[in-house]
Amino acid sequence: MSNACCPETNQMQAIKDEAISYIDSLYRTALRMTGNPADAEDLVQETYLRAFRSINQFKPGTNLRAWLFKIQTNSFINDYRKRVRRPRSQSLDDVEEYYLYNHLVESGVQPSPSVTEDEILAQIDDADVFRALDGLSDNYRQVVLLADVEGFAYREIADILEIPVGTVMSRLHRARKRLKDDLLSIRRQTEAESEGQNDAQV
Amino acid sequence: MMRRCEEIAALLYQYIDRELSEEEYQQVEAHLDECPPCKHVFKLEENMLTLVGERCRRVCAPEGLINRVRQLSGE
Repeated sequence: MSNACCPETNQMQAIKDEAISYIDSLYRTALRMTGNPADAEDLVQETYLRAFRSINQFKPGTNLRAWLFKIQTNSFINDYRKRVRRPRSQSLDDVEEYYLYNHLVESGVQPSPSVTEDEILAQIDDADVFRALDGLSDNYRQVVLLADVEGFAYREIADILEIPVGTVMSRLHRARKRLKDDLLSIRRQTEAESEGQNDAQV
Repeated sequence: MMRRCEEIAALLYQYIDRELSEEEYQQVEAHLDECPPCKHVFKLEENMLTLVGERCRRVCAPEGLINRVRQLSGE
């Protein structure tokens, strides 16, 4: 049956269509938050199911993308995280701030003073980035993904996560600092490993 | 008046995130123009965050998921 006589239905469908256009953003965030594709797909599907059921509550003219991220974040915290725990992500922000960095140093990776940070960053690949992000706690990873991958403003992140703007800023500050340390350490470790393999082949 | 390096460093992320007032933004710009060490640190941080964003944005939703969500939207 045609919807031509029902402008409200048409408007709802238009909002749903726009919502679907944000699926890549929601999926890549879900993938990094859950750590595996199957759980990420479930989380995104659940997000859309909830969004479509409560589409009447969305106020046209407000930020639809941020609204979807808020639904997904709530699903992640209230449902997913209660069912599935990440062993390395349980500790408090401050306690685990340098977990991976220290772990890498303890495992024998020595910083090479002759290589600058710029040179190391230039060699970083996708796997390094994902590994460093996966090593962050949920709280840290969330703010980095929302700010640096999805480009949300501090105010929007505060609304999505339901925390004060000041907390967004301090979390971002610490998360990025740690991410950088971890990225540099991971890159150094990858190089040390590949040098070890090359030596073994000679 | 030129702001000191420590004061400017405290504004690093707000500068990168475009979350400074116009006046503060110009103060940071003025300092960076005249302070190569600070400029280098800012550039390095910005490059790292850009790199993280770009690498993550390469990931797309699987076709099967998109189709299932499209079906949900019509129900």
